[in-house]
Amino acid sequence: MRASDAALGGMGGGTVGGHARGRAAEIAFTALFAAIGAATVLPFFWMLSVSFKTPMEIMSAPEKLLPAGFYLGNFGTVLSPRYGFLRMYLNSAKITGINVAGSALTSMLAGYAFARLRFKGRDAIFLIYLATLMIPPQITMIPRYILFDRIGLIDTHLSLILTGMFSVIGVFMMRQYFMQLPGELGEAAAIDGAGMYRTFFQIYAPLAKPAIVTVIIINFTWQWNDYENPLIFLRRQSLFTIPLGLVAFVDANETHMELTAAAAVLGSFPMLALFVAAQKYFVNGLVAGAVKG
Amino acid sequence: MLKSVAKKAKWARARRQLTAYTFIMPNLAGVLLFTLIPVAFSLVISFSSWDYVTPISEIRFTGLANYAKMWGDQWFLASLRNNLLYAFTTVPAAMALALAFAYIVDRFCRGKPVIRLLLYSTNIVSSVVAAYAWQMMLSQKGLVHSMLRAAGVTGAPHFLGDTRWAIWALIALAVWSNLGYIFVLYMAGLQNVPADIYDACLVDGCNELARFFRVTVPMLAPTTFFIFITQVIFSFRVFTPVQLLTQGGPGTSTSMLAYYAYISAFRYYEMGYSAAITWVLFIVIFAFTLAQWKLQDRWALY
Repeated sequence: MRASDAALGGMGGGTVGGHARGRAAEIAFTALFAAIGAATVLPFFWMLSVSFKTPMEIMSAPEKLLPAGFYLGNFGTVLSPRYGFLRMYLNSAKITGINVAGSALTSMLAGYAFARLRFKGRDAIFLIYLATLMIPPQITMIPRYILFDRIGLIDTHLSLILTGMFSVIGVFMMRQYFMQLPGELGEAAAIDGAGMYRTFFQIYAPLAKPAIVTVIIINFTWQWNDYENPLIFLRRQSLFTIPLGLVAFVDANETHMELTAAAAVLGSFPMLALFVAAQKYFVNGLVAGAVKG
Repeated sequence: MLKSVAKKAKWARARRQLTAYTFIMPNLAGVLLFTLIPVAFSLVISFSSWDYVTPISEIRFTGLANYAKMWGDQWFLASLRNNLLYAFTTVPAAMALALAFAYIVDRFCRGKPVIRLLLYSTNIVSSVVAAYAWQMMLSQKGLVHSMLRAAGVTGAPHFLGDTRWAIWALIALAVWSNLGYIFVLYMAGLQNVPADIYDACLVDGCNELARFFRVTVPMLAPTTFFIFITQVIFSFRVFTPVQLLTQGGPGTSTSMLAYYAYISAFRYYEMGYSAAITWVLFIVIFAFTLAQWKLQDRWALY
């Protein structure tokens, strides 16, 4: 593809012999990494396999790598109304949707202000933002709990929405992006009489699409998979999100490995589907942001 | 006339300032209310003894008592020790593997997108699902035990229930789940190493190892620096696998700071003590990050 391939021919000295060795290396290493890749997904494969096993199979031959057939009963049990799994999908979708949209908007606006607008205290405030990135979220755990308890938001979705809408990392990433866009665009718009908001929404925001996609994907992954905040703020099962509901389900069915597996498979499905559909954005976004949500 | 123009300009400036504030206000208000003020409040209660049930107006300040108490608390000391072991084994191990993998895959392998997808897959599922997947692999009825039996190993321990093995099971889980992400970052970093440096190395008669250690590793130092800092910070915050797989046990053999803080607050209602533990967690992270910043120049040297 690039220099590495060009250099490959020269590997080991002699060109002809080197080329043969390069070819052998290619085959050997590709096989090795196919194996490593397979080993990496083995726990998921095992989970998927267990989810298709009948309770009888689990009892008699638990160690078999493949299920005897595609038994769907476990999925049926998990999805039965008594566990409210569908409700949890809706809860997760609602909270994730609101938080992702909200944090994208607030991050965009604030990131733009830090990058392009001049106002008193800008750099000082930005420094404080940077400092909060180092603060472990556990520090705010108790005060947030007290605050939400006082204003009656414990055991509501609003508690999760209020904590999830304001992403500091998002602001940081949007700022970095807006910094590298040329300032002349805005100046030209200002001469034409555009206000600050019009300049932002009509000129800069459309240009920042890649960064916005990144922020959305990072927040989506983080929000959908978040376990700690729902664990602390939610009590009623009817409000549970997928990760929390999954834990509750497993606690209630601890002895049934096949049900745990089916629930975990179902719980991961939306995220996997999104990843497969938007893989390019995921990888680009992570590399651009180099931030793990 | 002139005066009114100046006045108008001043007014326009003030309005521009105000409008600028409306841009940051939605985010700043949220960060202030739900992060900055709670951070300050957390520091205050870390100097108090408070069981949550007593009205907050009767909160009793005990100075540094919480911070002093820790050093005689075996559970806390074990958590700190485990956390240090966990962070400083998982991060170097995952990084070394990811770098070697990225180098080899980039240089020798076909089907890069597929390999990347497989390695990265551990980052897509939630930490809850990852934890359960491992629990199923490591249980007595799981695949690992049946593979060990097939290989003739008998009497393998119950990894998550064994004082000596449990923390290594958590470390292995962390290496497995972080490796793919670091791999993706290193793959991206490799694309930015200029080809002519490799060519120069070739002219100098570099072999493969020299090529890797004398060109790739130094050229990727900034990437390594960034990954090292962020990964250590994240490793210190570990909570979910501890809570789901071992509850810090057996004994205190896998307890870690974030988990112990959670237990102190929501099981024992020692709010002040819990807050103090999270501050120690912050101090550890902060000291580490600061030390790395100071050493930054040395990282970039080659």
